[in-house]
Amino acid sequence: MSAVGRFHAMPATRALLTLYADPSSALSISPAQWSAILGSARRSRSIGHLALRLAQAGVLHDVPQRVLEHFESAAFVVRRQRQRLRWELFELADALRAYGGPVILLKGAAYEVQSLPLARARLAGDVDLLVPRVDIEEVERRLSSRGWRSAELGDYDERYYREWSHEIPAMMHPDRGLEVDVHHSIGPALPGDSAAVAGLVGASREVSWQVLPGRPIERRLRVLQPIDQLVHLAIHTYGGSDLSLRLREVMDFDLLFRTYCGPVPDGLGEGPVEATGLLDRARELGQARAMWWTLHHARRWLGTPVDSAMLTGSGRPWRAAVAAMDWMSDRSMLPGVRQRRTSAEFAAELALLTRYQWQRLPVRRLVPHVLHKVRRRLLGDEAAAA
Amino acid sequence: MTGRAIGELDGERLARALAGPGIVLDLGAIVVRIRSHLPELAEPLRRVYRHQPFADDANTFVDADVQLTTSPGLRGLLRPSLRFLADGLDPFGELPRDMPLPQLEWGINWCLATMMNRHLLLHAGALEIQGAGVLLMGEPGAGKSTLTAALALRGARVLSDEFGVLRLSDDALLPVPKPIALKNRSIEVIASWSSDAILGPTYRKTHKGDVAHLAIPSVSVASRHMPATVRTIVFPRWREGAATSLEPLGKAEAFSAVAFNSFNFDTLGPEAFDAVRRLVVRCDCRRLSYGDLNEATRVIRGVCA
Repeated sequence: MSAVGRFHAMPATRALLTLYADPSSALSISPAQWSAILGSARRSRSIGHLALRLAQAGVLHDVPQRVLEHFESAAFVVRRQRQRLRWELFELADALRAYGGPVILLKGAAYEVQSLPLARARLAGDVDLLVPRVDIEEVERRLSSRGWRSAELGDYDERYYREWSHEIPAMMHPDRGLEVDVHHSIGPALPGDSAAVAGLVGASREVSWQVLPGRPIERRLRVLQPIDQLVHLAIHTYGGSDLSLRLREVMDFDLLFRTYCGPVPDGLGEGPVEATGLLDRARELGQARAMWWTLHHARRWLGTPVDSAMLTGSGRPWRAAVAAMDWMSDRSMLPGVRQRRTSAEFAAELALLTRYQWQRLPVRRLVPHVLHKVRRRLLGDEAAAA
Repeated sequence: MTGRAIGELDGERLARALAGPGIVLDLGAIVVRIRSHLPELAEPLRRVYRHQPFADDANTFVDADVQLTTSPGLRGLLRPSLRFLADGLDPFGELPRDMPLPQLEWGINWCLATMMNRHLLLHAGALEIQGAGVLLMGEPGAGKSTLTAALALRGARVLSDEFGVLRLSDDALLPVPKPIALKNRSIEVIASWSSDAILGPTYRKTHKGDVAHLAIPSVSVASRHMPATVRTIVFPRWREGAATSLEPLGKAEAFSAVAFNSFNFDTLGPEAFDAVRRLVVRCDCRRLSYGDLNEATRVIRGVCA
């Protein structure tokens, strides 16, 4: 068991991360500490992740009854959401039956159809699809004809999505509650028609799954190959704008890493991914930085079994940059309990959000975009649209 | 937890405890720690939770750590408002500044609804009359809370107002004896119903109309760890001047009414379906039409005897 690194965190968060990293410590936790841990897990939406870690370590049923009830309550909510997700995927597969190109499921939907342990931990809020850029209009048209609707957007937002984002506006079927996001790339840094995306699509694989036991086997949907699933998750973990969800995303990464890179549970070998190849594959896709930082955070906060040699080789950021980023990440991404943030926490968050926008849009687009948002905030939607 | 009751504390000490480490309330199905630096919360809280024992021990397990506070920063200065935080989460955003007790109560209900999904959560008043559990179910305005309060003040044990917590493993009804939230005209009706009625302040024009809370009688608070077995389900409907009638309700109709009135039927799926089926098969299900509270309580007591 690799120990978690040194980091700055509120006591409740530290207790959560310590338990996550070493589930066997569950047996010596005081009642008050359990309250703090559950509170912290609830804040970071990671109660299912913690329950999965405890279950995999075989200690879930050794926790106090009152604590177990919280894990069980969360498990019912996840079970229902998984059912909704499978229904949505079944409808999607059906709606795209006549479409000839590849439809690749990303994130939660991919974990679900592969029946990965991670699907038991997380609450999927939407369905992410990757399709070739040239086909995106056809896919959108097929979904529209089967009842999916896009959110009503103003002209500006519509244009922003289509020209500058790597997805089209979210679609939803009015009879069901899940958003469907159709992407033509896996990150803002990758142009949708690039060779990298073609490489991802080319290496993707078909999955066989059933919406319910006894129903026909579905083969219309694909997933990224395992190593690319880790790269894609690292891009999200590193590049998302919602800092408060970052810890949960790092936990997603940790659980996926342990599934793919570790020894398989029955002790009969290793998972399908060689961890030492992760940085190389990420580099091929132009995402080495995202992978390095995600591995770094996962190891530091959660004790993810990442070999330290991987993080000290070539491609390692400057020591001062690592120290600065660690300082900022601890203060803006780990759940806090104070209602009023300290100025250090505020500065850290501002710096990271600025960096996020900087990476997403070139300055000549960023400045008009921010001005538009400010104008709309001040004048209201209609005046700004005029 | 065998502490003194909140009512025995003086208001100032309670306010200090709330502003400091908080007070821990064991409400049966849920244990909460309440913290607040709002001095005006202490007195109403002391009144409507008067029989509720509390602890200020930092080393107990709590299901939820809740906080009632004011909105921070410049915005809070310009437009004073309240915030309800549960474990640091802010589910409601800005709340009206002048109704701390109702917001706290709704907040704790939110905790129940989000954290207790391993039980079937029924939108119901729950009582025990002569050893038999009774659920009062129906849409808002049907008179659930009024009847629950009226029966409680005539010696019935209150398990809960608003939340009937049904444990799936053995169909036992778990008490959550929180103050009964009375709305609009029923505030006055209950105030004049019994000289034992202890009501908190009336908060005017909340999003549910005027609201006042009735303190739970001490026996019900003391027995908050004793589950009940449901024997009767009553669907009341109050109408001005209506004659009292308590008609049997068909099982199929009762099933859909109970399912419709549970908060998490959809979340629990098959477990909820089976639990509701067992419940209506076992119970005497009745539709109550009433205009007179006195007669309504008499017929409900009669059907339980």
